[in-house]
Amino acid sequence: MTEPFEHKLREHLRGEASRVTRLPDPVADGVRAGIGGRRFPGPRALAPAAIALVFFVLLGVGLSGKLGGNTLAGKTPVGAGAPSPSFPATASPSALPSPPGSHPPPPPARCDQAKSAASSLAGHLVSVRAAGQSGFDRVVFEFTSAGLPEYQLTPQSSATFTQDASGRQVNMQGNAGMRVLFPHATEQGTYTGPTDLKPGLPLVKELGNIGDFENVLSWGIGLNGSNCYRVSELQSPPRLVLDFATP
Amino acid sequence: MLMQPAMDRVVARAKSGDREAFDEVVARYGLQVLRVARLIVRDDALAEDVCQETFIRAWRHIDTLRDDDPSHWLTRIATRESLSAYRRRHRFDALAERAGRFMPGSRPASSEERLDLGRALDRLTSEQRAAVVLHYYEDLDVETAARMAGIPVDTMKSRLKSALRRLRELTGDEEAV
Repeated sequence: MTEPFEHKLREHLRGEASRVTRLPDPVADGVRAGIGGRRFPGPRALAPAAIALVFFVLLGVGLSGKLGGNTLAGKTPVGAGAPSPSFPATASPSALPSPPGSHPPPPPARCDQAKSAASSLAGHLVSVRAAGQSGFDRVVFEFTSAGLPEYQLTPQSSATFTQDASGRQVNMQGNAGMRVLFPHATEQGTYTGPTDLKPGLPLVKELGNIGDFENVLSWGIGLNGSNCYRVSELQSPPRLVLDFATP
Repeated sequence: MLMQPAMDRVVARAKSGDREAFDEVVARYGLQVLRVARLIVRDDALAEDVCQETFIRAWRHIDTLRDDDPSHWLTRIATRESLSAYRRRHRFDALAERAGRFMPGSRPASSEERLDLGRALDRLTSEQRAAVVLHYYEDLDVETAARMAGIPVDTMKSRLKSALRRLRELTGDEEAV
């Protein structure tokens, strides 16, 4: 073991570390949201919050039909908008996890089926996670850097799902559900997490794989109460984010 | 690492469930956690995710914090969170590492192949890198570093030894074996 080499290594590590000069605001915001604490939106966060607030006020006076179809990160989930449940006007749509950079306003909530724009991009699922936030439960599907594949979101009135290929019925916890279908994706070879999660959240009770066959990937979400949701697409890494407003 | 004078009181308040106090803990130790995560996972976005997860996990398990200074406790959570996140993100690389493929470290680098230390660190396994970060960046002794990583002391010694040998090979250090 040579002293000079170890010294050089120490110096290098310190130099690398010193290039990280501050904790980005979205990270601290995400922690606050993650632990259910008060939010302290700074000037950077106030603009999207204000836009979101105005948007939800407009929804409340019946203008939602004219303003539906909001987008995030350049992609537009297609399908008609539906009556919105009460979501908090959060300043950060990416509380968990957090992308770098500024955030656009959150998209509107909906209770009907949604589809992304058609795409033949092959997706490879990396992780699925759920976390309770202030005013909503969040579910995140993360994909490899190849990109976010096409998806279809179908709310349903029960937490019973039909497994792809086998046709077997899968009963999840909850009294409502959401089927998340990726018609050109798989988790084989990239996803190492559990295929059945019970996060113990107020609204999101269970998540489970209900199909991964011939590049058609399906997950079911068992919900306790409303299956109305807000959908966002985030990049770096590619993520599909579903927020369910808690009572 | 020296604490700011009032930090022990802030930590005590956080332990009693005061979220605003925990916010101060995040402000005080956030950069330290982010730097450790960045050194291990080698990716800005992933390091930010790790940092966020570290503090959320820390809050949920704050009853396990025994010291007034949470620095080592947070580093331990961040290290383990970094390794988990890196494994999830780079599963194929991890499999290849275990299978011994794509590991050009078995021979010394020729002058054309020599890497700078940054790129050489990229080529270590995540476990080797975590060992290096704990021992050489955090300046922890081998026993403490092993405890942080949740591994036996002998394993930590072995990882440090293999990491140094590989770094020397990759950078073409004259003392490389």
